Amino acid sequence: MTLASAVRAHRLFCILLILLALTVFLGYLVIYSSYALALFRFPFDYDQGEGFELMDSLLFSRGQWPYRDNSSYPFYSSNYPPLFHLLIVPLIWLVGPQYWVGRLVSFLATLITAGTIGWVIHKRIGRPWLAALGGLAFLASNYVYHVGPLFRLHMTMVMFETVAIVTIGQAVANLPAANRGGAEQKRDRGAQDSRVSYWRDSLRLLPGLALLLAAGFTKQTAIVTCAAAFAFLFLRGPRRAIQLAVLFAAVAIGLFGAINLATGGQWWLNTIVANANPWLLEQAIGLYRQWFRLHTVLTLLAAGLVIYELYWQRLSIFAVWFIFSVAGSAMAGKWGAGESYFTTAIAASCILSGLGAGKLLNWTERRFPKGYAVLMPAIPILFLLQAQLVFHLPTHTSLGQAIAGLAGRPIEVMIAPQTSCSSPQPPRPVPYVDTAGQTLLGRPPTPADIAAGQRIAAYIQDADGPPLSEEAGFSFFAGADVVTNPTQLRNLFLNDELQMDELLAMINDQAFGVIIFRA
Amino acid sequence: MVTKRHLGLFLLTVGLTAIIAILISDMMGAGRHYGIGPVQQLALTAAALIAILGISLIPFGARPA
Repeated sequence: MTLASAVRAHRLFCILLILLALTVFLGYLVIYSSYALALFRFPFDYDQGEGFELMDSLLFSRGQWPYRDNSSYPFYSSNYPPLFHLLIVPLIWLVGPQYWVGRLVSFLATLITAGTIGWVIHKRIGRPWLAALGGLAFLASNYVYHVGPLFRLHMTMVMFETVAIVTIGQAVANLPAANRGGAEQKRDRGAQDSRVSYWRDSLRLLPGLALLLAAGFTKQTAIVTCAAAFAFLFLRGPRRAIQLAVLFAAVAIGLFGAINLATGGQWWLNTIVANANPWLLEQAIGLYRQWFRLHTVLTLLAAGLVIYELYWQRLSIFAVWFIFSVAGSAMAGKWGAGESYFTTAIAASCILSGLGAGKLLNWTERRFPKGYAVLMPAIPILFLLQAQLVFHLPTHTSLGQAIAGLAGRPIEVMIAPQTSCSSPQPPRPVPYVDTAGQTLLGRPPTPADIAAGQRIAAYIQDADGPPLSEEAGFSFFAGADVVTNPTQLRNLFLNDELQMDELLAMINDQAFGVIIFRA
Repeated sequence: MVTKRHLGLFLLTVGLTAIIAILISDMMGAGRHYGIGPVQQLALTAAALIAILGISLIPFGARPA
């Protein structure tokens, strides 16, 4: 074989590997999209809590606050900030209180997040296939697949976080003063520090900060990303960072205070006090282990770039965000929290993986051709390994079963149905395979699930009193009042902040027509 | 401008402060366990790692962080 033909064979090999990796990740996108479509058609809660987010959106669409007094009928309040629900209000005005509108918004938010990840990798590295793999790797995560198309606000927060971080990163990249070393800054101070250019540069950061604010008013946990952004800005220019932080805090506190005033203090009670849940070490460690096991390649690639930047380069906003978001994922140990708390860290690791791999490829291509020849096939192979780690697939179709067989996976797993007050039931075969292990999320709902929901809703329709339900979906379906947000009542009760006299009186008087337990 | 040395000293201070705070809180009876409990052990390890990371950054001197 001549050198020229060997080079051609190597190039062809690399192209085939890249195409294979892209095909696999596009396959995950197809699986994700079909799961989302199945959920759009499901008219009940798929994940406990979805119905309450629909209720929040419905209340906003009627011009009412969802931050209410839990001690009086219907004993309902929201524990989340308003932005996600406000985004859904126009859709509710158009089509009514339907589950699919919130699921669609959340699904689109994950697509925007993936697109943003791909865009920033392409902008800074310039290899479209790598940018595509970075973005698709986010959507291929088991966690994103599980919660992405749910009527839950978390992934919309991650979208705002990701777009905010990328916007701030791009703005800082265009600020000459923020990217100079210390000696250069001192030398240039006279020219640089015309006040006009200083404030003009600061103004360029405002869109990113507005997006951060949007993330925070979508879900409280975005505070970690806010801290990461200001830590990064501090590294690049302490004076500007402090000034912007004061401005940001003033706006955030002003909005917070205004909502609290408008709701007579219910905003503080329901979004802050009611979220002070105990932190469980075992839960946190279990979720950290699972996250690392499922995202090993992405996490190690990201960590490698963070270490390189920490010692031999300047820390980028993405590195600071990754550090903060991995540490902040410890909040997943809170009672009621879960895997979704890692999705911010996954978004950061996808960006860093793409940037790290791209920087290596670009550097070796210029300086070290032999290394480049090794890396070009190695990078898609690493992404293929990552694809193997996050394997998840509904297997109710013959195609799904064939793919599972080809991948050496089982075509069904045995899982016991979730029971709360009824007696435990033996495991049943579930046509869904997931490397995350046994999970209640991920299996597309079936017509049997819809029929089961309709049977429960029929109890509400036949009852002669309002339902006391731990899930709002059945009440929505039956056209009945949504009574209680059970986890909210639990949390307030444990914090000694719940007056239960009226609720207990109604229970003792058998005022409720039916009681439904679920959580 | 914040340098690698500044960042190293900051992390060292944070790590040491956290270690002292955890030990003092333990002496004052915080936590459900007698002695250093599992959460405190984890926090102590994290604080020690932050301090070590800070020390390792100090020799990198005036390079921008």
